[in-house]
Amino acid sequence: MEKKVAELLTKWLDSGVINKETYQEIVKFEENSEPNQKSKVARAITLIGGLFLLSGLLGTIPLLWMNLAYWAQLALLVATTYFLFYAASYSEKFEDGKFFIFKSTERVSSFLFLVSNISFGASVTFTLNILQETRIIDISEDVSYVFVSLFVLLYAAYLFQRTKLIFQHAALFYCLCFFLGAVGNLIFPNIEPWAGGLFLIATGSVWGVNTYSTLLKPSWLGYFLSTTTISIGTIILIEDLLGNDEIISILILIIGSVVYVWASIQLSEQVIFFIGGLGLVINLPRLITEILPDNVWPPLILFLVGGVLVVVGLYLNSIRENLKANK
Amino acid sequence: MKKQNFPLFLSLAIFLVTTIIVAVFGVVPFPDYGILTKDIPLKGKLIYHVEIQSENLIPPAPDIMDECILSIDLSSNEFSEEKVICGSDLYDLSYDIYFYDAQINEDKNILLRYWDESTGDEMGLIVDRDSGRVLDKINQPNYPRQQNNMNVYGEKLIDPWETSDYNSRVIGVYYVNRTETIEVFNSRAPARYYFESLHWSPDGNHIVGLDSENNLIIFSKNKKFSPVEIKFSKLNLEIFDDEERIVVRLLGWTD
Repeated sequence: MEKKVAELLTKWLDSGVINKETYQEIVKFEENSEPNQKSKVARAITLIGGLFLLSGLLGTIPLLWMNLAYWAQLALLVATTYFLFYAASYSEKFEDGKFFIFKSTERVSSFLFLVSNISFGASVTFTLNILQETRIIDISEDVSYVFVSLFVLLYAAYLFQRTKLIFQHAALFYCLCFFLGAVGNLIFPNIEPWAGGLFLIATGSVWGVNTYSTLLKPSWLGYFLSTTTISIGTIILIEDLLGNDEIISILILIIGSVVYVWASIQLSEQVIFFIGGLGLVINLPRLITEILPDNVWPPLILFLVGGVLVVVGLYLNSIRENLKANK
Repeated sequence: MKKQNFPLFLSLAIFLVTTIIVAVFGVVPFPDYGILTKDIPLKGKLIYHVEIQSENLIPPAPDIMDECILSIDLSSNEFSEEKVICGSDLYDLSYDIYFYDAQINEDKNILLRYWDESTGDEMGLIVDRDSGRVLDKINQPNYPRQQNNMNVYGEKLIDPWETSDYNSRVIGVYYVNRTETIEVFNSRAPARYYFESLHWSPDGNHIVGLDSENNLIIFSKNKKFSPVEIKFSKLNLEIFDDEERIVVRLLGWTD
């Protein structure tokens, strides 16, 4: 048992907060639930060995890479992917606690699964390259992107289904974007920039809808990915179609930011509020510089930015109050 | 069950509607060109600057592996590319050859500027446009830049940046005579498509341009034929799998 917990228990027993029986039950429970000293040492050795193995692998691969045959490079990538997947699965079984730079062992396994996802993508790319080089298959570069992105997306979906952790959520989103981009590039090779922006808006909206339906968790990450993608798409679309009408472009972005602020209140989601607030802080000064003479705008910008920040603070407080009330 | 599936159906509907909008309004095809054949009698040589670039994606990318001046004889039976000179041929002289400043001089040979390490000064090379032989080395090659936009009739080509409306996806080639602006070509094109390096033919009846897709396009001033693209029967420069061939600039059309 941890020294701190033992001291607290003794303190509570002495002051009569808990009786002797409860004290003994807690001590017994803690002793049984805690891993014994031997298993602690074994796990520590395994972890340290794993870290050495990983860093040695990462250090050695770049040195050896160019001297290896294609099949050896592929074998190395597959082995690395499997090792990362195994390490992530193994670390899933650890009891929760702080580890290295990670807040919890859950984050460790999530991070390892993410790296295995990248490694898996590299393995698929290499496999396709080898098949192309050996003339077993003959596909264009655009088609190969579709295949790679599809396999990586499937793997990311499996990992997300398995863990539901934040890195897998983010990986699933970006793998979906990669896949849609690859398919879009194949079907519409001469796509106009605004159409690319529209696709981004659609992808962000789909992510938002599925976050709202609680299919995607945590909700803050789902809404963050959704709102940032919609914002980027809107900027691309507006810049391409309304590039000459600066004031209208800025007004649309301000209206969009206000909609975000409103949505954040409705959904009690701070991250949407931050994105909306950022949009207002950026676009209100832009609007002022467009419509007012030069010497007026510096104090007015300060006034408006200050106003926006005050509103942000007040709204954040109201969201917190809402959350408290809901609890 | 129905409520559970609603987000999925809504997602599919969003993608479907977006795809339809993009398919109908968001895709502008490249202008349609014919292929140059021997039926169109053209004379002279096109001289252009090509870069061989590596395809590595890791910054700083791409690396320029070599630069060359190439030519194509429009009056020959086949449109095969001929090498005039490459940077790698001149490594004995200098590694700093300014191919971007290359120009055709009054004698219709090629002037290449370079940095001469021995003198610590900019020098010039006169290169024979047919054989690629260095004819002369000159100090202070301060020749005026050629104005290729005027033909033998005094008609002036308008810079395509001035006449093309990229926002409305329209691209054009125009020239002006003494009284009016005359359209040679006008077409819808993707926003990222553009012409550069427009040049008159020596007889002043044709225009050649390099487009953003690395194609050399020939226009008839009087619209005697539709614009045609040059398809090389044979490329002179051999490149490796991980290299790319980029036509950087058209130097001119010599007789």
